[in-house]
Amino acid sequence: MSYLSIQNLKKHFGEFTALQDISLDIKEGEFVCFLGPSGCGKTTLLRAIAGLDQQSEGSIHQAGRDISQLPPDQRDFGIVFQSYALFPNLTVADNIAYGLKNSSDAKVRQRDAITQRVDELLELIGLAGANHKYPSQLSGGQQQRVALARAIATKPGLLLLDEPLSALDARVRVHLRREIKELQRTLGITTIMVTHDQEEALTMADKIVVMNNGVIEQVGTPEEIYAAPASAFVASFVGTMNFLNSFVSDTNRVQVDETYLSCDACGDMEQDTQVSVAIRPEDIRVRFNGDATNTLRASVRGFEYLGAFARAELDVDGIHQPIVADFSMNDVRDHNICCGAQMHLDIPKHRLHVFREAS
Amino acid sequence: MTNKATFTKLALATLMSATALSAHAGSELTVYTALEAEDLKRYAAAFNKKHPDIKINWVRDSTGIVTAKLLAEKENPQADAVWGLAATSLLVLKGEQMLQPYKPAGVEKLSKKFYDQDATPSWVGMDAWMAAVCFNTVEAKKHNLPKPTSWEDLTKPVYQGHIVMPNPNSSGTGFLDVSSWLQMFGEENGWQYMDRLHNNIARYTHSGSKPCKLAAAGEAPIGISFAFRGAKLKKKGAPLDLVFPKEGLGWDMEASAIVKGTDNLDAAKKLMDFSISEEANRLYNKGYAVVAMPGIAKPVQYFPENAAELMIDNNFEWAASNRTEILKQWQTRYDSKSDPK
Amino acid sequence: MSSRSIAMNAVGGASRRFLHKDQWVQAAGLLIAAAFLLVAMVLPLYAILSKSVQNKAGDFVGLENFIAYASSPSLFDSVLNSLFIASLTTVIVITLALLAAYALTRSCMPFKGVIRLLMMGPIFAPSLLPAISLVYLFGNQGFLKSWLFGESIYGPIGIVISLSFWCFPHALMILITALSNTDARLYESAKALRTSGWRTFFTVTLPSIKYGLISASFVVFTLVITDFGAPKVIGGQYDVLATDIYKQVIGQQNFQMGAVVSVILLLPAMLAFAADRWVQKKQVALVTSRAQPYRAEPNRRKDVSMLALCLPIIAIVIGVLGTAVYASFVTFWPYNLSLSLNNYQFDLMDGGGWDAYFNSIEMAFYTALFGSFLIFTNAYLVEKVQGMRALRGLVHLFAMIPLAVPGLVLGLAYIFFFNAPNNPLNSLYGTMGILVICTIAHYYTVCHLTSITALKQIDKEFEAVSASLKVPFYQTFLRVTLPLCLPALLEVGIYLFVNAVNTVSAVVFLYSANTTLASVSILNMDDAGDIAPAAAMGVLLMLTCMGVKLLHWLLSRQLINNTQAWRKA
Repeated sequence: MSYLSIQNLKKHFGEFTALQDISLDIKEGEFVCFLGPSGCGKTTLLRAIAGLDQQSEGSIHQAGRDISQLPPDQRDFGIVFQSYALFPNLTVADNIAYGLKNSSDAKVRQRDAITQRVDELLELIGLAGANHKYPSQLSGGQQQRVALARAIATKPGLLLLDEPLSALDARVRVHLRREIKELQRTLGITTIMVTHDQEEALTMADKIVVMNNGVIEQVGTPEEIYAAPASAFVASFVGTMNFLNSFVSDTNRVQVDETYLSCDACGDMEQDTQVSVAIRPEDIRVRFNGDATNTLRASVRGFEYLGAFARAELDVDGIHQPIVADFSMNDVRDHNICCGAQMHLDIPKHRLHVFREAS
Repeated sequence: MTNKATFTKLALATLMSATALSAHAGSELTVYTALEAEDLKRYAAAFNKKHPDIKINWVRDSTGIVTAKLLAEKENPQADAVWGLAATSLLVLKGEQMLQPYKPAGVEKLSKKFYDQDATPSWVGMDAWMAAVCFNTVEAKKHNLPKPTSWEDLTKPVYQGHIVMPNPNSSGTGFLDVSSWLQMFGEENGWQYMDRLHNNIARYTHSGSKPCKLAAAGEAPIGISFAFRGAKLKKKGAPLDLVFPKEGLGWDMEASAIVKGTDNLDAAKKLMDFSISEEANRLYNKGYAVVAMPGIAKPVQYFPENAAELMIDNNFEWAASNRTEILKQWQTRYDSKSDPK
Repeated sequence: MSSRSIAMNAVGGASRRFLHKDQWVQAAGLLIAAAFLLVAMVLPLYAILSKSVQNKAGDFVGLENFIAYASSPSLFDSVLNSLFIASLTTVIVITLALLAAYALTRSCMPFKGVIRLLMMGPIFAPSLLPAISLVYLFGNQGFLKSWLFGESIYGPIGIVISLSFWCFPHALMILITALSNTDARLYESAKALRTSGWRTFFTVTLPSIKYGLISASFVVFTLVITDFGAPKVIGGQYDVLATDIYKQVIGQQNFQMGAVVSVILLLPAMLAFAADRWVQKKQVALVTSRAQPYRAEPNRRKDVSMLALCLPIIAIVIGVLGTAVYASFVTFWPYNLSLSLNNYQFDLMDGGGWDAYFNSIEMAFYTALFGSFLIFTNAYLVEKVQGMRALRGLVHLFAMIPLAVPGLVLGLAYIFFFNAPNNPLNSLYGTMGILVICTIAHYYTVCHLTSITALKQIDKEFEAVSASLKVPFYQTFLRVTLPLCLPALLEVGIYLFVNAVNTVSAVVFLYSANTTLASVSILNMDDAGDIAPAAAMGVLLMLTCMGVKLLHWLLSRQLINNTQAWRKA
C-alpha cells in the first residue's frame, strides 16, 4: 500500500507542458529523490504535491486521502526551500515554533510544550542554545537546519525538500546530506527531495525518480539507476558514461566501427538495429589473465589524477570514438599507466548497456 | 510648539469639525465668493447685524476656481447663493439655467447697467472693477521708461520687453482687456493694436493679478492688470503708479445671485436684498471706486476721480457670445508664436 | 479513480480556487481594494473623462473635441515642450537622487540622518515656496540673477529647476527603498573578486535596483508631465499640456476640452504601466531570507567623496528653502527689506488662519493613517496572492492611474462623481472624509510602488511555508511581511502626511466652509499679493511636516528597535 499515489498528473503552463501524465507511488517512510536537469518538471511535480501549483489534470492521494483539490494548508506536509525562507525578523525559536502556535491540538499549542518541542528540535539538528539568534546570525548550513526543524516541528506526514542543499558550499553540503538522511531515517518520515545533483540523489535516496521533459524516465533504487539505466538519458545524466554508436551484428554481438564486441544486453535485438552501446569508465579494466571477453589494444591520449583514482582518455584500435576509463591507483602503478602508454583493455560483456537509437 | 500641544489641538479640531458638521443647516447660507478674504468679514458682520439668525458659510476662492466649481456642481448645487463673483461668470451660470431669478426690493435704485435687465433679474451687481496699468516707478527709472498715459503709448518701441499682461485664455482679466480693446477700437483696429502690443510684451501670465504683482516686485516695470490689486499693493509699499489709459477702461462687475434649487430661498433673498442696499454699497466703496448705486461712491485712494467716466460701455452679452471665437483668434495670433523677445 | 477527478477538474476549473478560507479572504481583500480604487479613482475619472466625447450640452460627439484640440495652434508646442521638460527633469532628478540615495545607504558618511532629512526637505514644503524662492533668487531683482547668463527664470529654466527640486524627494524615496534591500553577499563577492568600485556599481548595484530606478523615472516623468503649478507660476508663457488644462478648466470653464487634454495626459501613465509590467516579469526577489543585510563599512575616501557629492544638493535645498524662510520675514520685497514678524500672525490674516492650519493637520493625519495601511495591504494582495491574476492585474492597473491624473482634473472629477444627486455616497461631499479619500487616491501610485518594491524584495516562498505550517496567510502578513516592510510602510505614511498637508490642486475644489485648508490659503494669500504671509504659512507647514517627521522618527525608532533587531544582528 503506497503512502503517496500520483495518478496521471498533467500540468500545463499555457502552451507549455510541464508534466505529461505522471504516475508514481511512494511508500511510507521512503526517501525519494526527483532528479533531473532544470526545467524537467521535478519542482513542478513537488509543488503540485504540496498544492502550491495546482495540477491541470490527474489526482494525488496521500495516506488514502484524495488531496488533489485541497489547498496547501489542508494537506499534510512540511517544506524546505533552497532559499530556506526563514522569517528574518523572527528568532530561531520563533521560526521553529511558527507552525506549532497554530496547531489544532491544544496540547501542542501550550507554551511549555512549544518551548520543549523547540529545544528538542534544536538538539536534534545540533543547534541547541541557538533559540534567540536571528537567522542572519547563522551560517547557511545552520539556517537550512533551522528550516528543516521548522518543517518537521508539526510532525507532518510528508517532508518536501526543494533543492535544499544547492545554495550551500561543497563541504557543508556533503555534511548536511548525511545529517538530513540520518534525521529522516530516525524520524521515519516520508520524504521527497528535488535535486539536480545526481551525487546527492545517489547518496541520500531510497528511490530515485529520474525526470526529463516532463516525463519520468526511470524509477529505481540508486543501484538500479546507476547500474541499469533504463534509457540513454538516465545513463548520461547519472554518473559518467561512454557512448559508442554501433549496430547489432549478430546474437550477443555489436559492431563498433571495425570492432566486434560481445554483449549480453543485446540478446533479443534484431540484427542491424542501430544502437548506442554504453560503458561506464570504471567498468573498463586493464586486461588480466582470466575470463576476458572483449580484449582491445589502446593507447593513452590524456590522463588526469583524481585522487583515489585516475581517468584516462583512450584511443582504441579499431574504434574511432574516444573512450574514457577510470583506473584505480593500484592499477596505475602496477601497469605503469601514463600519457602515451600502450595497453590492453578488457570491456566486460555483462557491463555493456545497449540503447536503441532514436530513429 | 510642543508636540503634545499639537495633538491636543488636533483632538479639539477633530471634535469641533464633527460638531460643526452636525449643526442645523436651516439658518445657514453657503455662499460662494471670489471677494477678497479681508472683505468677507466686514460684509458678513454688516449682514449679520441685520439678520443675526442667518449664518454665512463662505467658500472663497479665485474667480476661475469658484466658477468651475459652481458649474461642476450643476447637477446638485451646494451653494445657496453667490455674493461677489464676476458678472461674466454669472452670465455663464445664467446661460446654464443655474440661477434663481429674484427681484430684490429697491433694485431700481441701482444704475441700469449694474443689474440683469430681465423682468426678474437673475443677478444684481455690487461694484465695478476695472483695468489699470501698474507702473513701477523705480524700475522705470532704471530703464528710462516714461510713464504711459494711454493704451496706445504701450505699443511704443521703448517699452519693448517691459510689459506683462494676463493670457486671456487663462484669466478673466486678460479676456476683459482683450474684449475692451475690441469694443473700443473696433475689431479690425483692436487686433491690429494687439499685434503691436504683442511686440512689447515680455510674457503672458496665467493669472489676472499676477502682472501687477510682478510690477510691484520689480520683476517687470509694467503690468496690465486691474486697479483694485494695484491700489492694494501700493498701499503695502510697492513703488507703483496706477495708470488709467485715457482711451477707456475695460471693466467687469462683482455681482450676486441666488443659486437655483437652494433649500434656503428666504435667507438667500434676504442676502440679495442686503447686497443691493445702500449700506452694502457703502461697504463696497471701501475698496472700489465705482459701485452699483449711483451717488454713493466716494473717491477711493489711488483711483482717479473720474473712474466711472473712464469705464467703457461694456457689452457683456457680446463679449460672452463671442468669447470662444476671440480666444481662438488670440491663440492663433500670439500663443503659438515662440518667445516674442 | 483518476478519470473522475479529471472530470471534476474540468468542471471545477475556476471555482475550486475559491474553495478554501485563505483564498476567500484574499479574494475579498482584492475585491475591496478594487472597489475602493473604483470609487475613489476610476468612476470619478470616468465622470469627467467621458466629457471629452461630449459637447457642452452633454450629447455624444465622438472625437470632435479631440479634433478641435488637435487643430489648435498651440498643441504641437505644448506636447513638445511637455516632453522636453519631462525628459530633462527626469534625467537630472534621477541622476542626483541616485547619487544621494547611494551615499545615504552605501556609505558611512557622517550626518546621514540630518542629510536625509534635508534632502527630503522639498517634499515638506508647499510647492509655492520654491517658486517664491526662485523669483527672489533668479528673478529680475534676484540675488543670483547673473547666474542665468541673461536667460530668464520665467520659462523652461524655471520650470525645470522648480520641478527638479520638487520631484527630487519622490525619486529619492523610491531609490533609498530599492538600495536598502540588496543582498550584502553580492558585494562581498564583488569585493572578493577585486572588482573596482565603479564596476561593482554598474554590475551589482544598478542591476539590483533596476526596478526601483525605472519606477522612479516614470514617477518623475509623470509628475512633471501632469504638474501645472510650476509652469503656471514660473513658466511664463511656456506652454505645456498641463497648463492647457488649466486654461481650459479654470480660464474658460471648458470641462470638455479639459477632459480631452487629460485623456492625452493619461498616455504616459499607460506607458508606465506597460513598462512596469515588463520590468516586473524580469525582477527576481533579491532579499531571500538567507540574504545578509548590507551594512556599509567605513571607507574614508569613499565617505568623504560621498559627503562632497551630497553637499551641493543640500546647499541647493537649504538655499531655496532658506530664501523662502527669509521671504516670510521681509516686509515688502524688494523695496523694503526690513524684517518683520507680523506675517506670522495668522489670525489677523486672510484664508482661514489657524483653523485652516488645524484642518490641514487633521486631514493629513487621517490620510497618513488610513492611506498607508490601505495602500500597503492592497499592494500585498497584488504582489503576494497566488492566482486571481486578472483581479490582481486590475488592482495594479487602477493603482497606476492616479499618478497620471493632474490634481485639478481629479478635484473636478470628484465633484462630478460624488456630488451627483443619485450617488449614494454624496453625503460625503463637503466633508473631511472626501478630502481624505481624494488625497489618498491622488498620491496612491508612489505609495503603491514603494510598497511593491519593498514586497518584491521579500522571499516569495514565505506564503508557501506558512501554508505548509497551516498558518493563515494574514497571520504571516501581520507577523512577518508587515514587520519586514515596516520601514517602507512608515515612509509611505510620512509621504502621505506631507503631501496631504501641502496639496492644493485637487482639494481646492473640494473644501467646504468647515474644512478650509492651509495649503489653499497659501495660494489665495499669494494671489492677493500677500507674498510674505503666504511664505510664512508655507514655512509653518514645512516646519510642521519636519516636526512630524522627527516625531515619527523618534516613535518609530523604538518600534524598529523592537521589530528590526534582525537587521542589526
